[in-house]
Amino acid sequence: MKLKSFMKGVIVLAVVMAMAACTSGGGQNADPNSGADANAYVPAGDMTSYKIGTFGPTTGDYKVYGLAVTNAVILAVEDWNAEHGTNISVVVEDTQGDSAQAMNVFNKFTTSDMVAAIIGGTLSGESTTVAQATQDSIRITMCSPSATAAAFTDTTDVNVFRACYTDPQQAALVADFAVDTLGATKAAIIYNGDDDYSVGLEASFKAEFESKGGTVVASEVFATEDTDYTTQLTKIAANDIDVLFIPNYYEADTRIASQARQVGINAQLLGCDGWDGVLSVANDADLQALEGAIFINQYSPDMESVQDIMTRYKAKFGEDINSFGINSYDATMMMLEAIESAGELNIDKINAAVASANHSGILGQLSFDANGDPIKTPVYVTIKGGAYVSYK
Amino acid sequence: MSGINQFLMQLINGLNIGSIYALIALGYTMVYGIAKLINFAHGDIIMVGAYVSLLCLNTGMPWFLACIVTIVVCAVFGVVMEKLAYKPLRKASRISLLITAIGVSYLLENAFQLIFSANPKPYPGFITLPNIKLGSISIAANYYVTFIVSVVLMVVLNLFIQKTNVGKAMRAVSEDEGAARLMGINVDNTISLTFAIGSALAAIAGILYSNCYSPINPFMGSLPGIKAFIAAVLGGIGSIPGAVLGGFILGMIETMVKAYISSQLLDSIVFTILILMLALKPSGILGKSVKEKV
Repeated sequence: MKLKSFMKGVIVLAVVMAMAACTSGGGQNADPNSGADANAYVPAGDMTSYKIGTFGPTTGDYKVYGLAVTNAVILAVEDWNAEHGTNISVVVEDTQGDSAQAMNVFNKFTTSDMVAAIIGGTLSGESTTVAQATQDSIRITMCSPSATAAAFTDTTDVNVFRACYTDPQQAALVADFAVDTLGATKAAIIYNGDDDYSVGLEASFKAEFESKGGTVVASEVFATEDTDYTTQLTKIAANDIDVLFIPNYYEADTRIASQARQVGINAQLLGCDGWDGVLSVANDADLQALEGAIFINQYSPDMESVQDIMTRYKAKFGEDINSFGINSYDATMMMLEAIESAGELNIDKINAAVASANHSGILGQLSFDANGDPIKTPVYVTIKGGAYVSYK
Repeated sequence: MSGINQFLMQLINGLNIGSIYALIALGYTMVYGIAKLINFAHGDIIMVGAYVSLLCLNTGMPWFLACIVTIVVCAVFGVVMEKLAYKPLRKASRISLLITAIGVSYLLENAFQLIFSANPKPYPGFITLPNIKLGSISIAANYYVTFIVSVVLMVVLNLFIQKTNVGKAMRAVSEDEGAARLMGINVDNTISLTFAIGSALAAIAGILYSNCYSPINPFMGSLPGIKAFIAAVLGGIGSIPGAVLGGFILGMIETMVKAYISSQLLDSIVFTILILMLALKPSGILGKSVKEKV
């Protein structure tokens, strides 16, 4: 009896897992023949009342990012409407971070909502899927405030832009910072082998750090679901290192920082923009471990220029804005400006207007290179007394 | 650091993770042993325990009081869950129960996500005992407390089931529900009690897990739940010492694979062990093999 019920258990488990695998697979379902319709696409509304689409995980594990991006779009469009007397509206769609779901959203945007442009997506995976889909069908302008994977703007047509650094860009900047500013010669890395973001950062940090004459003495990998990193960190602790680079999202970063100190690693901790939010999940012990850590980011909350949006965002949505939100606000304003300068709701003209944009946003000038990647200045943030402070 | 020292540290790491698995596996095995149900929602009760204790601690309640409240709330929760979701299906096939358990698991995860949002929450660790120093190796308080608690609970539970009348009733229900009823045992109450104890164990596991691995989120229980399930199978599901042994063995295997083979192959290796165990000795290391009566 025991055996029988067990086998049943295992079968049920297998079926459930297979079902889960199916829903996360099979992304690209765009009609390959619809490319011919590209020119026929006409956004709904007129110059004063068109729609902007935005998407991301507004529920689920990555909700904090998706909500920041989509809420900031709402705020930016409201500000624009108030200033210009227009009636532009925002369509927000939830993907739960799932690429297949993002395809459905894209299809909805371009067949039923008829949006003029897309701000999004939030995560690299879903954004890249949609960016690829625009190549096969409607080459609508999209600008992601937060998709950092290099592949995202790797499209033949220039209709895909981003307002944040690419993964290789930011990891190389951190490596330069480690060598040039901190004088580090030996580094270790602990990264998530399941996550393109983390894997990409690891590779470019390593390449840049070593090209500058440093040595990466250990590079350890973990899995997304892990919460215990002590084994990998114990291996790292056996080496004498100057910096430990932790290119992950903040929930893992908190635990890694704490556990690194616990196994006796005293090196300078370095992070990427996924660290933004790390203080919101840190308890007292974590704060001690995080003290002095430095990460690259789009902004620092003690910057003069971001104070106004921080207050207004908090008042409207009851949450603190993060770098995803601020980037999203700038990206949206840039987009609205570009559509205005395009003069009509024509996606080719809008694409051209964004490609040549030079927007003065909250975070300074934002323009794009030929690939659609941003040209802007990096900010380093350090954690001091439980707060984010610009590194000086 | 020398190779031997490194190995010893990894051994300690393995014991640390193992004691967490052991603690969770205890609850799994307890419910399976008596009610013959693999309660896939067990991992999620750990999550419930983590959130309840977080709420208590945030009101400024002293930690021991927070622990007691959490244990009571989870025990009641377990009983309610049994009455609502599992009891109506007691006559149904095992597979329906199993699927229901998976349903309960999703229900809990999503309900807690609705209530508390998916944002991870920092857990104010309250185990502030000093680290133990063994030569150059130091063991954090969270870990040795978890180790001690899981071993003590194993002994207490085993005594409870072997020696007390209630324990005897539980074993009787496990062996033959119908016969137990004929002998005057209140089967419903016994199964409810089993769930109460199982969920109380999950509450303790949730509190200790959160102390070790703050921050917490609504999905925190699912992977440890599955790992503990493997641990329980390894040790012999239904066997209380087996659960603890399985937990330690699994923790050790995981750590050694990560340290000396490959972190990326970890899950493949762990699940291969599970499959081999089910194929070669389905009753587990300490499990009794029961002949099937037809």
